[in-house]
Amino acid sequence: SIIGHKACIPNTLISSGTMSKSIDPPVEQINAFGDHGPLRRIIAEDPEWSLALVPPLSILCLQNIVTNFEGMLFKELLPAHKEYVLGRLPPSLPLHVTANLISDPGYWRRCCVQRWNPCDVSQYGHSWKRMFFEKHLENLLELFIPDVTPPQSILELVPLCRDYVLRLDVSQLLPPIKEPGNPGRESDVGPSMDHFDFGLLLDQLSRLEELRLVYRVRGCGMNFEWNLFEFTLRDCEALARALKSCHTLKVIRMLCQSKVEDERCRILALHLLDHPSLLELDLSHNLIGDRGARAIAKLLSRSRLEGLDLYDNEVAGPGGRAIAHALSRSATLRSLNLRLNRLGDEGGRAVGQALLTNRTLRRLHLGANEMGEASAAVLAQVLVQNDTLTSINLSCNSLGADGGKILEDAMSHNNAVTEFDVRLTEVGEGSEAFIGQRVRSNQGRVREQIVFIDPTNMIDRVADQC
Amino acid sequence: MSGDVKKPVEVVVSSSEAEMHQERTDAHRLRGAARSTAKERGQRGEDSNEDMVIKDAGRPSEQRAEQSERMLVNLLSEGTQLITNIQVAADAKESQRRTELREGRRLQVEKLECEARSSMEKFEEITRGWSQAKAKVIPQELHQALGRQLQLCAQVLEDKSKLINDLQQELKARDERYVKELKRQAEEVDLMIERMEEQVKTLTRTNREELDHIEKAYEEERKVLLTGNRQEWEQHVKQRSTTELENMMERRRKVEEYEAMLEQLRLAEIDDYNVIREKLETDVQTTQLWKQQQKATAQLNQEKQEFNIHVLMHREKDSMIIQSKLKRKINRLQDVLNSLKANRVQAAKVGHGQCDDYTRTVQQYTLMQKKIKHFEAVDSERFAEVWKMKEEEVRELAERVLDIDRLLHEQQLGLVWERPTVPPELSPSPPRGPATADSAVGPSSRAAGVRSAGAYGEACSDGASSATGDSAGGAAGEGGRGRVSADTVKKLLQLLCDEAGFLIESKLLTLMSSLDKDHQSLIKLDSIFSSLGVESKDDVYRLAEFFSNYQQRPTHQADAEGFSTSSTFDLLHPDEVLAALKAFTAQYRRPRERSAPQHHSSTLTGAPEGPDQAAFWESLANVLPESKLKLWTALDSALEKYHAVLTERSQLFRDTQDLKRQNSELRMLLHQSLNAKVNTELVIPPDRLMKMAPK
Repeated sequence: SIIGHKACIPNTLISSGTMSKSIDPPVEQINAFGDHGPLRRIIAEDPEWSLALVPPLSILCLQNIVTNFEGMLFKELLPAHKEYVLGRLPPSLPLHVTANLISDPGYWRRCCVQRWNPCDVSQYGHSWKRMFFEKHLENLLELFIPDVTPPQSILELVPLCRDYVLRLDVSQLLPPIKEPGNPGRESDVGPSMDHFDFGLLLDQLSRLEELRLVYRVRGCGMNFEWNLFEFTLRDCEALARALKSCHTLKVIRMLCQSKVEDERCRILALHLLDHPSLLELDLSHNLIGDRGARAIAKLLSRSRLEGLDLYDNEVAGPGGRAIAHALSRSATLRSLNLRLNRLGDEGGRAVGQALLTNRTLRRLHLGANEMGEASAAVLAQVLVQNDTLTSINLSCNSLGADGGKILEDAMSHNNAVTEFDVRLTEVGEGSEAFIGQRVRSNQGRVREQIVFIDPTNMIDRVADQC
Repeated sequence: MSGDVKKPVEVVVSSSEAEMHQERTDAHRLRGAARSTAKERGQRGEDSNEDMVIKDAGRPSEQRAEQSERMLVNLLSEGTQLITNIQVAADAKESQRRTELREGRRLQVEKLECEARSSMEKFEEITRGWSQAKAKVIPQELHQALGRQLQLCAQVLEDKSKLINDLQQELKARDERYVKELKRQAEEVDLMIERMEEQVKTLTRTNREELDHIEKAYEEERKVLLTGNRQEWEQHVKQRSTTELENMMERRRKVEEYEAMLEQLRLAEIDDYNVIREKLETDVQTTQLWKQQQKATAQLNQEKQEFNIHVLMHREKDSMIIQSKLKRKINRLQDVLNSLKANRVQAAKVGHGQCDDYTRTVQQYTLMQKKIKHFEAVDSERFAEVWKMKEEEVRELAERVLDIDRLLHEQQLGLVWERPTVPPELSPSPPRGPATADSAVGPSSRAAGVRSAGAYGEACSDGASSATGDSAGGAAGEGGRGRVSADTVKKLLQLLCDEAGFLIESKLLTLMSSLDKDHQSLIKLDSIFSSLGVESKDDVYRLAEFFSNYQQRPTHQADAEGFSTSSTFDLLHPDEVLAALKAFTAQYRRPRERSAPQHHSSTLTGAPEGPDQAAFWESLANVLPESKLKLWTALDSALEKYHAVLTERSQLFRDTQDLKRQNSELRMLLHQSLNAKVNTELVIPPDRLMKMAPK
């Protein structure tokens, strides 16, 4: 019926259109839509299609504003008109106009979708604007070439985006361009910086909380060179200073596969001592040895770190002892990951002894650390005495059947541990099964307790699990 | 025109695209929301399930939910384990590889060092060879040495190249292994992804299945509950209907029963009713008969009554006439009665007034007498006191006069004084006993007679108690009484009554004859006493005393004991009674007649012993003789003059005294002024002046 109704109208309008030439645009458009004479078809999807209305002057003005957008004018518009304008603004407007003016998520969503599709806004706190600025800044940083790209191009963005950037996830950093003629010869003259100097940027981003850095080049393919993956000493010093200058930083997940050695690790740790807000440090997939571990242990004792990740490094027994010593004094650390290191029985025992006194650590990962039965004995004691530890992973250690028996006995006295991984530790099937059963019963008890204590807490927990 | 044509298309397309995008995002959002709500619901369901489990684990659906939850948890952990197994295995492999690598590296280093050492030795040998070669001069030897050097070098080179070759081979092997590792890892990653997907799939599937199971369980439970409830309901309904039916049947049965009962009752009642009705009808007939009889008798009675009424009316008329007559008579008599009554009242009033006056005057009289007695006593007392006082006064004055006189005589005149006679003490006894006795006896009247008669009555009945207890005063009475006992009085009275019958009027005797003896004697005594003039009790006692005395006198027994007279009193012969009466009347009538005027005079003058007393007073007043009085006046005038001279002399003496004193004072002043220190300072001292003045 609607189509019929609309179909009968154009005839009358057409007759009127022939009479006077100054017809309103929609009618003309409709008329002009098909070339073959008077048109009876319409596009049903167009919600604004209207034959009867001549667009009001206000709409025309707004359309004009959209095409020639300016900040000052926009502020004075009525809310309804603002909405109209925002719905039609093109995403290609310059940032210095829009950044601090427009807070409408719809516009920024359009911007994001246009540049990076698909987008998952949930990782950005459901804020399209934050997502846009973070990704924009990351793109700029990843494409920054030292001595070629002017730093000004990034710095001039800072005042626009400083209120919206909470996290930076830089997945590559380009090295300076080398003259193909004499590679590696101009070390003394050299470029002004080996990679982008974060000292320029970090102290200006007043809300930055999380930083992820990788000193590498993505997709280098056959142009592989080792220096593409190099984290030079100069870079390290610059970065350390930059990190120290940024007081809001809470999480540093950096340098995965960036070849951080002991020396650089020490520099970083030295600069991060007494950082006011640092909570989590992730240095996985690097080459940190015992000296670096000692530096990190010192950092641990002089900061409020809650999470420490040293996955896949080369920390051996002495380093393990240093970290364990710091751990026994720490009152904040909740999660410690030492997976795939070379702690051995020396480090394992030290960590176990530290846990006899520590009452804050919740999660401990000691997988693939070449530990043996001696460590198992100490850890069994920990299981009996410590009731804050809820998750422990001992996989890929050669604990042996006797170690398995000791752990089995210890687990029968423990009510707190809800995750316990003893795969590939040669503990024997019986012990593993018993431990698994025990862990499951602990899980059930904890869930009941949570239900008893607070259902909302339970919901949060389930959400975390999901 | 073409631009015009193109533009709308673009607009439409863009708008549709935007709309499509919008739709897509909306759908996405909706899906997300749905997912999140589903998740929440699931959580909540789980939550509630768990709550229910905690509250009540008995229901099958909850058991089912718990079971499935446990299963899901197991499944999840198993799946995660399956996935992480790969990771763990990779870790293990990696660590193993590293240890191998380390070992290999160590071996290699050792090998390299060993090799370096050997090559160093060889190198040293070569260098030694060079020095040796330098020493050689013979070309053959040199050549030989060179050849050996060359050989050694070649050996070293060979060793090195061999080493290099080894290393290169190893490198190649490593490369290959790396590639393999890469491939394997890629495979593992693929496997992991695959497993993850599978896990997700299985999880979703099992979740859905479990959800279905749970729903089914709930459904079944609900169904079971519903059917159970429905059955129960139907059972209740059935039960209710049967009970209703039973109730109805019961009611119907009862109704029938009651109807039958009613019928039965009705029949029985009808029979009774008929019997009673017949009986009542017969009763009615008999009563009607009786009624007619009664009517007949009533007729008869009525006629009789009418006749009686006629007779009675006639009689009534007569009685009316008589009645009116009697009434008139009564009125008349009433008038008479009234007048008589008035007369009587008047008379009674008058008589009553007189009687009252009489009694009142008698009372007043007695009262007055008492008053007079009282005042007399009081006045006499006062008189005595005044007398005494005055006498003392006068005597004092006289004493004083005498004293003064003595002084005058002894001191002034130097004469011997002799005391003149002072009248002796005169007892100023005012008249007492006889006066009062007479005054008491004096006023005699008939009332006293009556009283004496009463006294006799008392004496008769009580004996001595009344006679002794009554004391009217008077020494004679007392004395008589003291001597005459009641017994004697009684006897005397009896004697008098017997012997003095002549004193009683003959008419009285005839009148008394009807009375008894006591009364007779009483009346007789009364009349005798009245004729004798005995009027009071005292008189009676006096009479008795007189009689007793009279009896003793003729016998001349001097001072016989008063108390023994009673025994001898009996001896008074009745013949002597008349003589004794005569003597009594002769003795007592006179003093009584005399006492009446005497009494009156004594009360008026108050001092019957006047001349005696006047002389006494006179003597007191003239205790100082006339001559002495003259002397006194002359002395007085002389003394007066003497006194005047003396006063003058005393005055003069006082004046001389004053002058003497003044003189001495002036003398002293003069002396002071002359001896003062001021005089020495003066040019002309006064003492010189004084000395000069006389010159």
